[in-house]
Amino acid sequence: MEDGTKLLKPSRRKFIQSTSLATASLMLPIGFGAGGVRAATPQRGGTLRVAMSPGSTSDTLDPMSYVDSPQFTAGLTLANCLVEIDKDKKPIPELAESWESSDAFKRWKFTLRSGVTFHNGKPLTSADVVYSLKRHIAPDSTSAAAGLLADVDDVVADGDLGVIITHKTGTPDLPIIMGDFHLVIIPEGFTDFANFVGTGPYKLIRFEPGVVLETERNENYWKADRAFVDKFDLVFINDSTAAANALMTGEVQAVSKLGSQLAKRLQSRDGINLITSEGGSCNSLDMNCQSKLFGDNNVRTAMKLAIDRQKMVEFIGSGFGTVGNDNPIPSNDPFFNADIKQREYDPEQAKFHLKKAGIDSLDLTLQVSDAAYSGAVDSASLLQESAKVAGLNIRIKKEPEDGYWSNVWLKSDFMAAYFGTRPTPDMMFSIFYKSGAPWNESHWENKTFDRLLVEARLTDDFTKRKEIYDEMQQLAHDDSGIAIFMMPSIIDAYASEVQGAEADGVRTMMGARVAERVWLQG
Amino acid sequence: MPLETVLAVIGAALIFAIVITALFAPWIAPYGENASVGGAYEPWSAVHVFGTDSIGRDILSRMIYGGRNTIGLAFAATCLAFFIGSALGTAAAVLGGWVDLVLGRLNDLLMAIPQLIFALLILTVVGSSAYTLIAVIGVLESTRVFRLARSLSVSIVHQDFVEVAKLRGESLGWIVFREVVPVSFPNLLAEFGLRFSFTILFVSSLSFLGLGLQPPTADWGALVRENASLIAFGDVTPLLPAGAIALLTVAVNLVVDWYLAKIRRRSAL
Amino acid sequence: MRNLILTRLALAIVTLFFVSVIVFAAVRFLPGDIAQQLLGQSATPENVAALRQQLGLDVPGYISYFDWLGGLFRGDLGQSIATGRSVSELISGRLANTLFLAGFTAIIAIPLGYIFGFLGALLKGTSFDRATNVIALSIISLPEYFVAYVLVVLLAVKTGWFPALSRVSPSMGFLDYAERLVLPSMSLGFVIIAYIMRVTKSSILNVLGEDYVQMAQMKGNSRFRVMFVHALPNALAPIINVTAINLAYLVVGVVIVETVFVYPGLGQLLVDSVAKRDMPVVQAVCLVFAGIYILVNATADILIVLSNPRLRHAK
Repeated sequence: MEDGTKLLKPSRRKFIQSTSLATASLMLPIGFGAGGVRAATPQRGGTLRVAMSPGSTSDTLDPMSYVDSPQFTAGLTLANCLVEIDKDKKPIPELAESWESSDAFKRWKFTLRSGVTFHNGKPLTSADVVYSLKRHIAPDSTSAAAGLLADVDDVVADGDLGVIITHKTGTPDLPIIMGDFHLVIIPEGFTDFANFVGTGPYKLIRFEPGVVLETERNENYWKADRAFVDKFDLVFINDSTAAANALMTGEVQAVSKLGSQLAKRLQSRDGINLITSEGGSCNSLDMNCQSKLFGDNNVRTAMKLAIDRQKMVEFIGSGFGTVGNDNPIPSNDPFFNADIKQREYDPEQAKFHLKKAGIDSLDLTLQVSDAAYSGAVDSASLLQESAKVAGLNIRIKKEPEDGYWSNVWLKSDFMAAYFGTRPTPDMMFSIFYKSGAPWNESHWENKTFDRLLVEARLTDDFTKRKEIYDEMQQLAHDDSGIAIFMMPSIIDAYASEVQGAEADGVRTMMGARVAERVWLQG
Repeated sequence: MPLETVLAVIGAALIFAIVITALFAPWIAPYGENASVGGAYEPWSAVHVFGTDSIGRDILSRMIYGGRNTIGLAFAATCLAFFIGSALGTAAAVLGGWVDLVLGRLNDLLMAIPQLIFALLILTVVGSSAYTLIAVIGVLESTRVFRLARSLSVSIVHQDFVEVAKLRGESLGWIVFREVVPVSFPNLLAEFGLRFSFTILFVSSLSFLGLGLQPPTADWGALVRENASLIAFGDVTPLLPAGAIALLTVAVNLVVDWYLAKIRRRSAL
Repeated sequence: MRNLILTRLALAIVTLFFVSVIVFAAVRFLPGDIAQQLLGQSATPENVAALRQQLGLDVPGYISYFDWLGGLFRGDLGQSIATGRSVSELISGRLANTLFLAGFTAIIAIPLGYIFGFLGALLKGTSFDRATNVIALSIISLPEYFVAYVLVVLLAVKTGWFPALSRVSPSMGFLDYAERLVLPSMSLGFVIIAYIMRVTKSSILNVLGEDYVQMAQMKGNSRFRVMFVHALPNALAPIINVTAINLAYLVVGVVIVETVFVYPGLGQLLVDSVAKRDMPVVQAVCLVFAGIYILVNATADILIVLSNPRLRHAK
């Protein structure tokens, strides 16, 4: 890989204007992705304001506290990871310009790009990387990425620019893991997150939690062909109608994860482009497998059968999205198990399973908020109607949107939730399905599943690996407490002056990297 | 007929119509409260008079059920407020002395905390249900009733018939409800109308903030919030429930205005 | 008269003290273990114990109350549990926003309310009077969010004259800031104009009915002069009162308008913090609201005393 930073120093502006395509693709061969040639030449300048949700007054910029797309976007606006994930879920170099593994994927060496500096002028070294990563794996770590990194043994520096990561069981996916949104690199010893310092495309001007993140272009940014706008603001708007209004009145130039009903109405409107990405997220009803209510898999299965999935896609997705099959792996993933039979709405079968659990009818409370996913409260109303027939009497408890993820999610026995898919089955399963993982939404514990997860990591052969993942998907479909009834399209709306926006298989807003990828057409 | 009377008659007719519709909602509404009977956001038509909502429920039916829930809740809360407020207010006036002082101060204290803020705090903590809503709103509203009932009663308690009843050794409850309240009743009734319309607004505000009745139960405030996204596209359907609220409160106000004028004339004679 | 004012002030302070007790107790005696709820089911007993100590739950209620009160006087409201930031810092910016919106609205709406009230009294029985009456009654009868949404449709979505959202930041210029305040302050303002107008009109008409005013009129004074010189001073009390109520409403009643316009004020902060059970913030915000409310009402009472010639000269 070429080191472009030295080349860039003199007269950056002229460089970008004259030779952007050719030289840029030479520096970052995969950076533009396989998506093709850009139609227009990127322009510098302007202010881009993007509306995202959820935002909360309790948000912080500490990478350990990130839980959702707005924070991921904030992180990747101000900082970089070792590895970047492109829109086709492939790992490409970011702060690490290369990596290699040895000892059956147990020992990984990442070599850092030289000449990268933080916003405060400090040059990037391996010590910074060690500090940034080890925060997440410290024994008392509260990091949301702790589960993902549970099998990472140690991170040590190897000279100024080398970092060695050792993995207990070994995994071929470690580079992709290093592209996780939490693993942004901060300076060694850094704790002052109110004045965040990173190596990212934009520098922090002001962060008001739950209101706005204001940033300005990092004029020393090491990527030449990125970061076109002068100012980038991340505006937190939890009310989807308010967000749509803001887009229509020009208050913001982009809205992340527009509700499908709003999308249907904005579709035909001039001056607004919708970009839909498939397979990027799962809407689910989560049942706590450790609770008395859902301890019996018959009850869980009854509930899964009592969901009218077609109706959910029709009304909650407004047709944007596909029916879910209680399997988190999207159909466009190479490891997708196409042989699992689609679960349909079947109240009779649901009753049968309830009876097997020794129950005729069941009263239960569903905790829900539109913060879970757009249309969540409506989906609860639909579920109430369809489940009534099966003998499941659901009382809906609408929770405040603000605070839903901190007060209800993971704490409720029965709740609505969504999660964004991760680039690999391993990450999906380690984060949301593995026994004891911090974000194991249904508190599901399955020994076979856990064993297979480790086994798959040690298998480099695609066919064998797929066999293992197929079995795991079947287990999740049959037994887990996460009832994925729909995989909605992720719909991002952009004002027409925003150029360069593309669909992304993993995350809204171009994989949370919208700040450095799009530009404004004058 | 003077204009005021005409308006009062119109108001009374409106109240009657709305209350009847609410009472007989299951028979009048064309569809069920939570039945998904059409496509999403169908326009106004003969089948669905006001169209359908996001999950294909008939909006007219939901408005009719919503009226029943909102009015029922507001009525119950107002009744509670009047029971507490007029009993304590009148008792304070009758007993006087330190009882009056303590109740008065306590009441001032409750009134010194902004209502919406207090309701927000308590409902979040105890959880929102029909019962907690009625209790919280009833108690908060009773402070206003207390003030009125007390000031009305103070002028009554010194009249002969109350003194006589006291000398007869009647119980406090008897004096409050049999002697004093009947006299202050006309004014209390007028206040009841105003408090009731205020309570409807209050309930719908709480629903709008998501602290009202739980979905899929319909109520007028929540119906506005549920369909608010349509407003941005120039569709006025979400404003209909708000219009119903306005219609009812205006109607109540018209009747109360007329009634107040009448009792004022009577006392002037 | 000085005594009257001092008594009223003392009363306000005593009320504020009791309100602080109520607010503190309401939060403290919530059902359930707050520390446990805050930390969730995966919390270790050590974590819970540490948080209980931080919240002062491990000492008797009255001791932690006086600790809190002491902190209050030092301007130290503790730390937000959710963010770890100082509560006074969290509140001050939001309070400024709320007060600015309230002030902005009050300056425009209150005088308009008086003017319409006077005109209504002056032109009683005319079609102007009837029209303003009906409009005012309708506005009072409409839910606030209805007014707010109609304004959004007409003035933001359809015409694009004003921003639909009122997200403001300190770095904004005054004009930008003011532009964003137009719609929320209109939503609030209409209600206030309607209330003040109604009370102003009816209290002037009440006084106009009294003998001495009729006398002045018979002496050949103009209706306008009678109204300002003779009637107004005696109609002031209810007008001051309704002004105070509306000022208080402007500060504490804006939660809904803040929600519609996503305005970063104190009401939003309270709604957020209540949802998160961020107790130090909830206590502080409730106290600020109650304090403003009590202060405005006390000021109104004192002004009423000052405006009344009989009370003013009382010994």
